[in-house]
Amino acid sequence: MAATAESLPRSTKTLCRSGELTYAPTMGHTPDDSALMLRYQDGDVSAFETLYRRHNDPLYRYLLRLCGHRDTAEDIFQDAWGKIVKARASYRPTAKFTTFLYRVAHNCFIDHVRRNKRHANNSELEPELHCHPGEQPETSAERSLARERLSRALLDLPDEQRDTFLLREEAGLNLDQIAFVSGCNRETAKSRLRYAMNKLRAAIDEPPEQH
Amino acid sequence: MSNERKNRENDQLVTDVYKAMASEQAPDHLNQRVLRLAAREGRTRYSRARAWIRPMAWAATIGLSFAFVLELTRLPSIETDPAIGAPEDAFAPQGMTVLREAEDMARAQAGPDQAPTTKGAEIDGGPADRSSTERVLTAPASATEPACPLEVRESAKSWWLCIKALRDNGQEDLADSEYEAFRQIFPDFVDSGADK
Repeated sequence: MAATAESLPRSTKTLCRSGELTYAPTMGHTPDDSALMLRYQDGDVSAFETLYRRHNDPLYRYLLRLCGHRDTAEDIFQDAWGKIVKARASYRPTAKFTTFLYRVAHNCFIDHVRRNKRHANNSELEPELHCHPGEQPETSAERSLARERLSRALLDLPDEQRDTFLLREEAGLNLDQIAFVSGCNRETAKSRLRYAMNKLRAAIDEPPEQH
Repeated sequence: MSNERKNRENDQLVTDVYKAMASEQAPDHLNQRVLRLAAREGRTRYSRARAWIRPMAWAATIGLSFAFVLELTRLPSIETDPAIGAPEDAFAPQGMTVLREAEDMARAQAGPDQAPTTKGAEIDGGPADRSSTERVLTAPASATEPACPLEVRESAKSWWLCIKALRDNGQEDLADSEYEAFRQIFPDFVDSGADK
C-alpha cells in the first residue's frame, strides 16, 4: 500500500512539504547518483564517496584507453573529479549524472589534447595477457590473442571513434547521451560507433600472422 | 541473416572481448587524492561554515547586548537645572549676546564705576549661578577689566584685531589668555592675513 501523507511520520511530512525528500536516504534503496551529488552539495562527504566508488574504475578505464598513457590518464582523471567537486554548487540534476561526469572528463581530455599535441601516436599501454582460471590452455591462448588484437585495434582507432566506443562500453551511454557528451549529433555518434565496431570486429577476426 | 542481426552479434563479441580485457582499476593513491580533495572542499564551504554560523551568531548577540548595557551604565546623569544650559549651548554666540545685554543693563543700573565681573555676579545671584559662558568671558581678567573689552568681543574680527594689538604691544600673556577665550567662542574663525 502506498504511504499517504497522513500515514507518514511528522518529520517525513515536513521533508515532503519542503521538497527535500527527493534525495532523502531510504531504507533498502540505493540513492541514485544525482541524489548523492545533491547530498554532497549540502556537505555530506560520505555521499560523494559512494558516488565516487560507483564511477571511479569505469572513468579511469575510459581515460586510460582514450589517452593510452597511465600518467596522463591519472592527471585527467584527477582534473575531472576536481572540477566536479568544485562545480557541485552549480550542479543541477537535469541530466543523468553519468553524462555530466563523462562530459566533464571528455572536456578535460580535449583540453589536454590541445595543450599536448603529442599524445596520440605513442601509447605506452601494453595489452594485458592474463589467463582466466579454469580456462583450457588453447582457449586461453585464443582469448588472449583476441584481447591483444582488440587492445591494439582500439589504440589505432581515430580519437572520435575510440571515444564513442568507450563511452558506450565504460559509461553505458546510449547514442543520444554519447552525442551529448561528444558534442555532436546522434547520427554522427551512430556512424562513429558503427565504424569503430566494424574495425574492432575485423581486428579480432584477423587471421594469425604467419612467421 | 539480416544486416542488423549480424551487427548485433558482432557488437556483442567485441563487447565480450573488451569486458574481458578491460579490468583496470583506479589506483589507490589516486582514489585517496580525489577523496581527500572532496572532503576538504566539502567541509570548507558547507559543513564547517554551517557548524560555526549558529554559535557565532549567538556569541555576537550576547556580546553586543553586554556592550550596550555597559554603555548605558556609563552615561553621565543629565543636569536638569534650567540655570545651567546644555553644554553645546554654553559657548554659543547667541547665548552670550543675551547674557551681555543683561550685564549691560545691570551695569547701567548700578553705576559706571563697578567692575563687570562683580556686576555679573550681582545679576545672576552669585558665582555658583553663573553660566559657563560667562565664566569663559571673565576668566582671563578675573579681577580687572578684560584686556579686550566686551564691545570688542562682540565680533570675531574685532576681538581678533584686539588680540593682535596686544601681541604687537608685547603683552603676550594677556594676548594668550584672550586668545584662549576667543578660541572657545569662535573655534572656526580664520583670519587669512595673520597667524595666532
